[in-house]
Amino acid sequence: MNQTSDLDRLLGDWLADGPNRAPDQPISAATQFARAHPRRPDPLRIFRSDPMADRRRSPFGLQPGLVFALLALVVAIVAAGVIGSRLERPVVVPPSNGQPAPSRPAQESPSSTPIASEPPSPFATVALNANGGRPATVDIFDLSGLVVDARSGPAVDGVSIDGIVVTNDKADSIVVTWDGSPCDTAHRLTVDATATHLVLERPKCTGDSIGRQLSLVLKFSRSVVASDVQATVVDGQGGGGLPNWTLSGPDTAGNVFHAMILDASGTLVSADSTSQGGGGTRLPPDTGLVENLTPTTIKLTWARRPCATDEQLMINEGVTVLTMIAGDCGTGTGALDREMTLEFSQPVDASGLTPDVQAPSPGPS
Amino acid sequence: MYGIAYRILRDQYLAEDALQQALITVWNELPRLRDPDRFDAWTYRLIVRASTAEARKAGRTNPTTPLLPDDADASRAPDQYAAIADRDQLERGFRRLTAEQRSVLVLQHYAGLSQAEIADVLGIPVGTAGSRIHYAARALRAAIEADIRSDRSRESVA
Repeated sequence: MNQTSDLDRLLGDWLADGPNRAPDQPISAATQFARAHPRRPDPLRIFRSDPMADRRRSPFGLQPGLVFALLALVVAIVAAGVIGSRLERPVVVPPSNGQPAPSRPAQESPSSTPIASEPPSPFATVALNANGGRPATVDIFDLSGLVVDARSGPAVDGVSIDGIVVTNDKADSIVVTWDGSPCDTAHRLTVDATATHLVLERPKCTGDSIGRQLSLVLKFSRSVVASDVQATVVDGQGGGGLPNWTLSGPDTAGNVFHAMILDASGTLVSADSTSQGGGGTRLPPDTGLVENLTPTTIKLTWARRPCATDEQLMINEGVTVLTMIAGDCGTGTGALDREMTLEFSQPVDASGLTPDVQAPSPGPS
Repeated sequence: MYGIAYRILRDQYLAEDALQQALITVWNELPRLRDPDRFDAWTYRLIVRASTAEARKAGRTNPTTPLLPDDADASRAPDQYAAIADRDQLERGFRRLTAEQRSVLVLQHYAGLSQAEIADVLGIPVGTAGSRIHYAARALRAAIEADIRSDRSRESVA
């Protein structure tokens, strides 16, 4: 009986030792990120899920705000129907809190108030020199308005720097160099309003492949001192159009594919390719299957022809639909199974998940 | 938050990365948190999640530690664990646990959370939290015992 308590006591004492105060660096980096990503009022906030909400308690699995809005929409439609049948003239039903409004008469002028603003466009998208490795790009968002040009710098196999380094190329241009891995393919660089903070986001990925350095040259409309510029690398967050995860893996015959994952739910914890050898397939081409491995882990199996080497997986906010899109390849026979496991921070029911594996387009040839 | 990350990951730099990710998530997701009373549990959840992700990326988890049968403890002397004077042994045993197992032990023994609070932080049923704590402690005992056995075999060979 005492053994457990002895171990508990030892463990408690041992864990009590060690640092309790955070170093400045990660706090400073997070502050830089916050500066470069100012929060704007979110008109759809009421529809966003509460990160601490228990999904099982929510009626129909929906957010209270969404349930309310749906009820309001139903009431509005019924009311419009009743009134419309009495007046026998077109009735305009106003949009209800971001929900799509019922069809309106053709003469109705469009609403002057947009429900949600379009995401900002990047200043530029630069194809990075990957030195023969996997292609990589970076979308540049310039909040300062001072960036006048952006181009790739040289790539280097292996890593000789730690993190991200900024140096002056000329008086008005800087070279941003960072360590990465071959699976870092999509990046986003944000230049803050003062052009003194840079935040580079990239997807998470797993794998032990040899690292590589990527670099970007930014030219400004005025002189910039590299030592005054603070740069940070962070993992891509859910949503926002940047893939959260990338992975590479073989199909059952060893043909390599690459997948970028866009997780709108923000609950994806890890993603790994788990295809086994043997060359077999149990699915028709361009179809998929989802199974639970644990309450929080699912296995997605789908079948593709080997020519579909680039895949994109989109996970919707409610983790109810997995949409898989492949690059140009075409349809036909000869598909082989591919597998990946996806672990989430919350339970996911595979029986309620729809794998939407879309057939690739035939391609230019 | 840093204290929890450090104790789960046992690595300063990984803990800093986990803290940074967790703070960024706090910044991004804070408007979605409707109940201010759940802020503490939410931040615990974020730091545990970020630490688990860092552990996976670093490939530091080793889930293959064999578990001893339940009756293995019966043969142990009462002061066996008290004899673990060398904290390196505890460190080695702890490092052999998975990040999920380390997380529940850190939340219980370092953060001082109850079983129900751990369940809330991890978003799992209370019973599941209890079983995770039980199996984590059992795995730690097994890892320490495996360490002790390998030390003894080395001594007998010498």
